[in-house]
Amino acid sequence: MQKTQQRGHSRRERGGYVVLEPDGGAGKNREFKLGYSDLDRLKAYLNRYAITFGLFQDNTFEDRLFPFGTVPRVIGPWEFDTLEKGLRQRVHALNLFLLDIYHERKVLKDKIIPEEFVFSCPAYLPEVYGLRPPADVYAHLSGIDLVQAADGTWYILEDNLRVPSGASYPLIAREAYHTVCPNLISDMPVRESRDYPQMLGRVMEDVNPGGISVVLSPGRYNAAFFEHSYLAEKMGVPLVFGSDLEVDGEYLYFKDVGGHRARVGAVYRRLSDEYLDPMVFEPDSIIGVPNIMSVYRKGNVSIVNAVGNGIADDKGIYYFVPALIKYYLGEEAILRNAPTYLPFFERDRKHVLQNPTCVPMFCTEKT
Amino acid sequence: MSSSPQFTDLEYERSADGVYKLNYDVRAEMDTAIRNHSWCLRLSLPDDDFFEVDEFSRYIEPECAAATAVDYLGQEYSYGLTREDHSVFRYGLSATIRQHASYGRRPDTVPIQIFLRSDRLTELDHKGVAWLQAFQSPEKPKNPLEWSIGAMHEITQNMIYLTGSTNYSTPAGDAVSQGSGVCQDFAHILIGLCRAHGVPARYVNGFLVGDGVTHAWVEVFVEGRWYGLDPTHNRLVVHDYIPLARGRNAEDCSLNRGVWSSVVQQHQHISASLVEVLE
Amino acid sequence: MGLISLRTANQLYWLGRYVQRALDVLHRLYDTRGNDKEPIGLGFEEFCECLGIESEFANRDAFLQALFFEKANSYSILFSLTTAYENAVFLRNTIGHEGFAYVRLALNTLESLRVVNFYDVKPVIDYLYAFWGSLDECADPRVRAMVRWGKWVEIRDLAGRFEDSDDRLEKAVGQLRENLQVLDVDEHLNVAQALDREGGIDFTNELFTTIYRP
Repeated sequence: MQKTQQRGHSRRERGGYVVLEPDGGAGKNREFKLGYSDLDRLKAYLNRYAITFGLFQDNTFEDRLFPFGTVPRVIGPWEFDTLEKGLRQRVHALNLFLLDIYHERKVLKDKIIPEEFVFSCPAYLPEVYGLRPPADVYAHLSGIDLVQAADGTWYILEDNLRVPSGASYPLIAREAYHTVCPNLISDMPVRESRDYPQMLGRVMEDVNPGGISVVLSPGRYNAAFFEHSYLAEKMGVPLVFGSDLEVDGEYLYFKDVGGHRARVGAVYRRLSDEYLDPMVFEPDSIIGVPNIMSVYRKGNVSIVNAVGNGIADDKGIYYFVPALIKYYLGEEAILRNAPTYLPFFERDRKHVLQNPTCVPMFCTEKT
Repeated sequence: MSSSPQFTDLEYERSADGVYKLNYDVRAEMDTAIRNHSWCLRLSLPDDDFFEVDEFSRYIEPECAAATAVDYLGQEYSYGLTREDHSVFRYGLSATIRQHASYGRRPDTVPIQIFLRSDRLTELDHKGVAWLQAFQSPEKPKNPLEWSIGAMHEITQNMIYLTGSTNYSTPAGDAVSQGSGVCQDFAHILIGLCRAHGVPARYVNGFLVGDGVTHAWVEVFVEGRWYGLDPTHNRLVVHDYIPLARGRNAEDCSLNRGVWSSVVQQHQHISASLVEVLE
Repeated sequence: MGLISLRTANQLYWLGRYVQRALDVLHRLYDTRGNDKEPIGLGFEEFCECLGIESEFANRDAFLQALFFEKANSYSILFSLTTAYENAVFLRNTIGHEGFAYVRLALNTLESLRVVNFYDVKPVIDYLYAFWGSLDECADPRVRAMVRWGKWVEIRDLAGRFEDSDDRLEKAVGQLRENLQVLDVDEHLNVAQALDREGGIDFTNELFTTIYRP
């Protein structure tokens, strides 16, 4: 890659910012001016619609406006395509890993991962044995963290396959640009991203065994509550809390105020596994839906993302993801892990001990 | 098996079948009425090679449609939703059971390694670890079952059975520290010791002949079979024990769970009777 | 028609009440702007009496300051708008992004003021009207009915407190009845009974004495 394509997308000038769009080799760069008044307008836009995240500090709750870097970071089309390909590959392999690890466990028999990395991990949930999610999909949504190194290389920092958060903010940002400085988007060949809620809605329909879809939020004081309500609105589905739902017999229902009820077939849940069903997990959870695991097990409702995904985004498993891609797909990983050493292995241990600059970034979860 | 364990210290052995009458009744009384009560109850006897069940019946009051499902070990349970106001919730089962002398239950389909993972309830404190180290330096290497039986003896020698000294969520480490507990704690400690020694161990909730309430004991996995040990009574589980739920710890095999929206005081009266019937 | 949970119904009702309480109290204040010697409408002592507020204010400015910004007082404008907003936060996907934004803008505008200047307060009123206008855009008739249920109950309540003419009271009740025709009888009762359980007001009784009154 050429240097200009990686860096210098924006530079500060008197009276405003200049945003450069890398040309992808097709010709000269185009530029667009974003003035300070536009930046103020973008912030006012976020305030108008309360684009916030919740924060508990000193025992008080506060909704804070989402900090928003108003100068867009431009990712060139070739770069984006590679990232897209690499991320698809990674998520595909992780999904196959989840299916395998809760059923045949071939990956352990073939010794791709030492079995203690799986069985000692609290995120590996025997509670979902014997349960096969519709269409074998575990990771309906994935939040894969990327970081770009000084030389322009993109690295995978971590995988999030449980309850990834944050998809709404770029959508809102895009809407804000469309309102405040429409030319920025319409004059440039920027790819559309605002169809995300529709895509999510389609995914939910695809795995829905019958009934309506809902967004299940743990509550107003969740950091991402804004996102829950925003995505529910954009998908046109009810935003619910645990107490709005009930399991009766074989199915899950939404309780309508008029006294009738509607079957729920797909739950986009934004609470973690341990709070999902007080009958199976944390008994004191008051934000879950009692007995939802029973109907989930019977295939009468889809839970998005699937229960038990934590094993695939565990910090101990991260190390092995490139090997999992090779194992399940027979392909080399397109995107690289950040260099990681696992002292579990002799060779890595030596490296860590001989390189005092190696600092532990994270350890596997407490077992 | 080549290295079949020797049970010289068994309290008793018997080869004939036993026939038992089981009555299990739980009555939960709330000080104010509750409604929209979701519940989940263990009211099915597990499939087992070692006993046969006839004349089985169960009940839930107020009368309510109950659904059934199976958990990850394939054990059936009942669940449902009682909408109406009620201040008494009662359920139970009765059965006649023919039990064969049983020792060495075949494994389930789940990977055995999950019964090696330590958890909050079975984790040991330093005192427990010290016990463990004492076992781990024997003069001659022991078969894991003998080792487990030794651990069971150790518990009996060091622990006092004291009702009310612990509660449903007391971790094994705390019980070891205070030196007292009830059957649940004894079981958790034995599980903790076994797992730390590399012997897969699990919790069993069920009934024991002569006990007035439900009882808890342990199963350890040795050479492809599950063996029952009762650390409360310091004996092997051969006869006179009928399991109701198995799992990784007490929470995993809780016999009932319930959720409703109001705050109430609840009193539970449990009566369990397992009586041998002479044929 | 979409689905509405009991919780949402409750929040829609209170959203309607608090938006309307802020708007109604603001209107009544405008009517009392004359000097203390010859008030147009009511003097502030009477005003306090109608709202059941202990009147211990040194002067008119102190009274206004409290009525606008004293959060502990459930008739203060700030309290009404804060409570309206706290309900609206849950309802972004029910009343829509824009409807929600008007409640927030009203609250933000009020919060940005330090002293009471009636001209500066005007935009708060504008936003509240914009909210009622935006509600018409809301596709679900039951959602509209539940917010307006709160609205007309509040109008009737304040009309009683300020001893308005019978005409106004009758109009409020008439609107309430008309508005609630969207809901069926079972729905009325279900919502009312659920709201009863929240405490404070006997909604079931209220329904029977207003809507179903022979």
